[in-house]
Amino acid sequence: MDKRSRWLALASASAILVAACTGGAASSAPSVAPSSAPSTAPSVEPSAPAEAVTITFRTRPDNDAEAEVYKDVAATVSEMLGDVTVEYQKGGTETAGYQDTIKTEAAAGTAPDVFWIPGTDTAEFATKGITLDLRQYAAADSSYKDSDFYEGPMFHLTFDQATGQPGGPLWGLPRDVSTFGLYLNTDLIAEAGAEDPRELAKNGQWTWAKFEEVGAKIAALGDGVAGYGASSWWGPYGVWLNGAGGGFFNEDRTACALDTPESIAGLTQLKKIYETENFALKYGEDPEPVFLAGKIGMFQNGRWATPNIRTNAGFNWDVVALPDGPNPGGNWLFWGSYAANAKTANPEAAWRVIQALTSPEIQAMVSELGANIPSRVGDQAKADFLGFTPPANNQAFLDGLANDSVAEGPLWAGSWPKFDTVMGAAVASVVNGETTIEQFQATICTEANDEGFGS
Amino acid sequence: MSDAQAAMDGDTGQSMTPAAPTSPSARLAEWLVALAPVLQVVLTILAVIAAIAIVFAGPVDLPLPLFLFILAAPVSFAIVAASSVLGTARRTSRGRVLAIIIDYLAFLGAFLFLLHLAGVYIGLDDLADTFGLGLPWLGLGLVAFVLGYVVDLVRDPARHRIVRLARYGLAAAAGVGFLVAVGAPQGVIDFALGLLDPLRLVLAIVCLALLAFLLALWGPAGKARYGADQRDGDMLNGMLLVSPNLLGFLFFFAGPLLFSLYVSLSDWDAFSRPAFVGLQNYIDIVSLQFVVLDDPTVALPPGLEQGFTEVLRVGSVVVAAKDKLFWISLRNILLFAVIAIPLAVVPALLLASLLNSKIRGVRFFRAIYFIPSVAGVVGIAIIWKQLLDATIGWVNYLITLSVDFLNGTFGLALVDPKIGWLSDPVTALPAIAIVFAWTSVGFNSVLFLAGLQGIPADLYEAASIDGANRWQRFRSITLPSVAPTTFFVVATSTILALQLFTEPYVLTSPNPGGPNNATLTPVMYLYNSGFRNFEFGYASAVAWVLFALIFVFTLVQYRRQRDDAAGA
Repeated sequence: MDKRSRWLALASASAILVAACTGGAASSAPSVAPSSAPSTAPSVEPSAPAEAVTITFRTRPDNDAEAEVYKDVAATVSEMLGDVTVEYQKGGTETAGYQDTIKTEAAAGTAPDVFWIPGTDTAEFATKGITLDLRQYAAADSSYKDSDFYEGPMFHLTFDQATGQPGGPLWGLPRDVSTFGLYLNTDLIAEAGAEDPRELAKNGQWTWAKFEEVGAKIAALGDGVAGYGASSWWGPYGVWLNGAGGGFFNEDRTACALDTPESIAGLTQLKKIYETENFALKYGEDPEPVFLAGKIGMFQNGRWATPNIRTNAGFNWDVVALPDGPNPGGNWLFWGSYAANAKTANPEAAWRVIQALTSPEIQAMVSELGANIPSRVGDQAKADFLGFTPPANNQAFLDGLANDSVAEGPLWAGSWPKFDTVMGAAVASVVNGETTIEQFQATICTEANDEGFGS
Repeated sequence: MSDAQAAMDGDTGQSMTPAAPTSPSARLAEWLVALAPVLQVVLTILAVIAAIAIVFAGPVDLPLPLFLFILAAPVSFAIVAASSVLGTARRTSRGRVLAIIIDYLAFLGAFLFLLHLAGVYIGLDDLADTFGLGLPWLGLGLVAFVLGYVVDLVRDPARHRIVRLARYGLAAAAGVGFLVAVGAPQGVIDFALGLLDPLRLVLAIVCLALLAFLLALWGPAGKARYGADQRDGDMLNGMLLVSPNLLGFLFFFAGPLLFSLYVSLSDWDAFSRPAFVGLQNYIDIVSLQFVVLDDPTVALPPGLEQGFTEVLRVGSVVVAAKDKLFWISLRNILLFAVIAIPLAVVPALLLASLLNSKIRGVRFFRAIYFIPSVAGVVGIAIIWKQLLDATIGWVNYLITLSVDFLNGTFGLALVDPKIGWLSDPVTALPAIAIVFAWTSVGFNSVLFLAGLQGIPADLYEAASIDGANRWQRFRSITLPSVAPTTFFVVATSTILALQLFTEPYVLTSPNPGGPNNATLTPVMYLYNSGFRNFEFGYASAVAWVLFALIFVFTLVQYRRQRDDAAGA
């Protein structure tokens, strides 16, 4: 290495160290305003900030636009609370192991103060002591009521393991709810000459049989067009089991119920859909880009798909509720919650931040993005949501929630990831024709109970 | 002249007799060197106190092996420090070496702790944001650097001076601009103000004192007092050179490796105290049960032990495992290796043969083929996921075009297969093997190219004169000559293949390892066990089983290559 290269290397190394020192100093010296501080100064004078408290807050945004909304949310909540600064951290995607990262950080003691988690993870986070029981803070707050939120999520968020009943601890507050709808390519439906599913739903005729009829007509267009498409995780196939009156678990969620006649009827319907030639996009293929390419007539997905479809669909589209099976309803009530880190240094401030994050104002801010439905049950929240168009038929999502929806839930008595691993592989095996439904029925619960519930 | 000095003079053949120190710095160095034994005593006492404190504190929430592992650090330090006390007191060169090592470690520890207190490590998180602000100025610095070469080309003294001044001006502007842009003045002020904190101030003074002792011991005063010879100097220089890597290896590789071995013998969820379970995790991983069925059509084999699940059925024989997913992942990875390794090696050799020719623009193609090796695997996997989409992917589109062309041109009745590359359990693993091979071929071909360029050209000339054709030359000269390279390429490709994770994880999301576990690999399985199910003990055991597997594979390849070489 000649003299010049040595100097260049030395200068580069020093520059990096100095830059790091600057960042660290800025982080450790709250008196210095960070360059990324929100440009809009709080309009409300802080009430009596005895000591400034910073609460770190993380979500799992699907894209940069959503992350920007949460940055604004953090700034607004800081403004609302005055004496608490909320610092937003953009989490990775689900594929990037969002929950795994938080769990690992919790083990190391570096998890954020407040974070969002999916409903299915609530039990694991609570039983491992990662999340804080907020009940004492809620009890001291006269403005707070469990009943302000959808009952399904609150059942799980207040579940008491000792009694097996809700109404005990408080493991967080629901950020939002969601449910499946069928995103319709109305151009394809019109071209196929099929009946409009929205009209059928209005008239109470939107059944599995009609769904098959419409899908078959769309698929008959050829050129790679499929009548129906859905992802292959537990949500999309679960609605067929729910719709037939079955489900994943027994009533108290302590054992597998995938082998009941109702669940098997739902699985049989699912298999039929995928076995009918050209009717459905091949099981396991990602349907979203195919729908956006105009090759799927009915695309089953949650409200969270709306922003992407708003931006990228080059055709006319709308939404309809899922068709009714033998057991009308049975759609999922998806939800996720804001939880507080059990090791947070400022539990009371964390509670106040969570309350602010789930306030009607903030829920409206997030819902405007199009990806979420407010988790509050008030009429105002619903009215606000209906105004966030397209899709024109936002009511389809509210109907999906209202009609005996099944709340997504954690397993307090077992391991959801393990149960899901066994179930997902077995369902894929049936749909792909590797296993018969009879074999599935004979073996699934032995294996799922063994893995998921350790019994 | 002391005995040691005389000995040293004899060793080096040079007079190292120190002149009477004239400068204050030389006098200070002499004084520090004389005080070195005292420092070593202090450091020894501190290490002993630390060890005693740890012993009295007890394991607390730590498992005993981990506690002993932590205790080993101050105990080892105390032993070496005590040795350095004896050595420096006796004025031996070994004592000086030990003292330098101990002082270096103490300085490093104090300095890193000071940086921690100053928040520099937290600052690294913000580095990306802060550093970007200074990038334009670094660009200016690059211009100044390039100008340095221009200076050498200018012959005219007046112009030479102007260009040189311009270069210095630019370099200074770039340096100052960068520091201001990244907010360095504020950082320095914050750092300096932070020293008002008594602990940080004491640490800063300790750092400076240790550095001064270190430099004094290392310098002429230390050499003279302890009779250091050339060998000592070489050894210390070598140790200093490798110390960042060595310390990093010990702290970030060897330590965690030993810890994972301990964890693999325990039941641990990362939140509670590990429970020692001995070899139970390993037993669970490898346990198999064989059942012969009276009725081979029965769905749920009777007689399976509690916790065992069917993995494979051959006729009336059922193979069941306690950990079905591990065996499925093992089957997958072996199948993957059989498909992927030839795909990653054979085309690489052929490509290297082409790139070894002296055709125009060959360097451009060498670079092009190498790009996949340096591109991010996640990015590559996302692109391939789109390419392999069954409905709107380019691969199936090209197949459809080909089928249409053949049917239209030759009147065939071929059926468009519309392959579900990643959704069909039969094709998912081969599809991932194609992606793996695509990313590996460029790097492997560069290795082969290096091997090919080492083959003497006269061998080919002689073979041509003897009438050997192109294929014969390739088979009889090229292949045997690149055998060591082939071994290396096959061994590294095998290791990479057996550690497969990113490609299937991204390509098969949102159900990594699907469809129906057809792409589940052992590393993916251990990741799920550790980070999804939080069974870190079990995950560590899987990792060690995988290590054993890779070790055996590599050993077999090595032995075969050695035998082949011996036979040749």
